[in-house]
Amino acid sequence: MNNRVYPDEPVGSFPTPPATISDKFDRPIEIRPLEADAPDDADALAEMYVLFDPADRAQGIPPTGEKRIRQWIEPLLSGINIAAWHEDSVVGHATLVPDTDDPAALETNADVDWELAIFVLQEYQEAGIGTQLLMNLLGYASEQGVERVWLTVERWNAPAIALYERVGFELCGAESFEQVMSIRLA
Amino acid sequence: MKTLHATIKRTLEAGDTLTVAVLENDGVKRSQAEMSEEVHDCLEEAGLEADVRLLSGDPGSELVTVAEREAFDQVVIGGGEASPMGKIRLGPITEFVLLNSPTTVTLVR
Repeated sequence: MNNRVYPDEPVGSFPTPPATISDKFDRPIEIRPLEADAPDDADALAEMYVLFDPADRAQGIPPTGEKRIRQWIEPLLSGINIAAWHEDSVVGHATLVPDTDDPAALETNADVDWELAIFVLQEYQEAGIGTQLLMNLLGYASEQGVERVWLTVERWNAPAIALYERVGFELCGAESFEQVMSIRLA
Repeated sequence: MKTLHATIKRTLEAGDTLTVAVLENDGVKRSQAEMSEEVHDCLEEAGLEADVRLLSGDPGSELVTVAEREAFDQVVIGGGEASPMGKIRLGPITEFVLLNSPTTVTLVR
């Protein structure tokens, strides 16, 4: 399914991590990349998804149960990942996964399309963290040469669609129940 | 094929009667004849006798129509391919059948 349409004009000048922000409830939130080879990062991320409310899942992710969560996280961590931290816990996660069967064969990050997803823990939602995470992820990806990013969102999820549009994503067609959106970074 | 295997298993356990419909779908790699051959192989391997039918025309619509016209109890379909991220995506045929079938539909995951 590689017939995605991208906007002609690139969107640029996103902030880059690390960043420390103060959320709507004055909590200090630190935004920084997650490293694929740091076991502590993987553990902290798994802990966030164990606490994630299953009612807030979308399109089958995140899975439930620590074992399935870890199986799902592992390949994601070889993509591009950033997290929002409050004290020692991950409270939000944004990720880009390359649309390729063989990520090791990638010569440059501009060669493929990257699929985006973002999750924020329930008690940290509606505090401005998602927007900051999203913008920092795009800034971080842009630094690493990523040019094309896409995502799907459930058609009835108007708040999410509005968030993606604010950042610069455009609607680009629908695949059955899902709305496809895309952005060009370069 | 995963859906077919699961359905054959369930059919044998429940002692049900199975009819396999092979749809016309230009979007897939295997032709209808190749699919039909694979279906026969699977059935033979499992030791289950089942009617295998090739349906032509709009795949979703034909399946729903045949299921209703011939009063089948249940339609079983696959669908739920995962994106690179692991998001489940239902294809257009699956969506059509789920929304338009008067017959109960089971989605195999």
